[in-house]
Amino acid sequence: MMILSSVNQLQMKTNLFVWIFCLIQSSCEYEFHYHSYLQMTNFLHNITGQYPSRSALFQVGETQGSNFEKVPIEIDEIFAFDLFKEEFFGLLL
Amino acid sequence: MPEQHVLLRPEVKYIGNMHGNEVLGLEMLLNLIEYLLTSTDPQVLELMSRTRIWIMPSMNPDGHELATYGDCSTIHGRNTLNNIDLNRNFPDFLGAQLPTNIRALETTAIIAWIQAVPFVLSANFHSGAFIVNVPYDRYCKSLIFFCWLISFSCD
Repeated sequence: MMILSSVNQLQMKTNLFVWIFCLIQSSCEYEFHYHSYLQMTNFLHNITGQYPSRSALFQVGETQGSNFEKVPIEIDEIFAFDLFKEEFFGLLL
Repeated sequence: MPEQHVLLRPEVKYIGNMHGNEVLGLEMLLNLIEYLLTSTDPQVLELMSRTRIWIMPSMNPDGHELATYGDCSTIHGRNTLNNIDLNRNFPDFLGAQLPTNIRALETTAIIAWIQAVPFVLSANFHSGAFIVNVPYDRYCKSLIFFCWLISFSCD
């Protein structure tokens, strides 16, 4: 029971953290730094949410995908990552 | 409404980050998106009301995640996960032989997108050199004699 309750507390904390993160992210103003894939898609989702009458987000297709942290890979392997799909987007203004 | 094609309204396409390690186009296009949506300049408002602008900030997100910050000497992250250079993967207008016969998923998606939407103007942003390539740019290693007639540069 002790373990369970501590796990619950941990989940509460992570949920709170996610909420704060979302609140910060929702005010989308472009900052000039290198954006990761997650930051880029967050930016696109937020800005299309802010201007729904003038912009829309479309999925054009899927890439081979990536899960680099969980599965260490070599680039030369061909067609090894069919399981891990990653979407990429085109933004329509 | 941005979802529909309006007759005689031009469609424009911008693609950035085709090579995953060339990230300047991505950042520039994100900045352009914000500028076009938030600007109150009357010229920008007129542009937004009379054209349909498609922007794809990252065409190669896998390579973009593979590339490392501050790496200016290697080409790590340039290709896709299948080790395909996307700039050498599209069908050649004049029939030159491409270095690989494998068509990347990104390429097939872009081709389907181009065929679905009647674009009149397109741009594709790389980084690392100051060149402007004209249409019908081709793969340089085949047919060397015809290469310089058509394109001086092959990024």
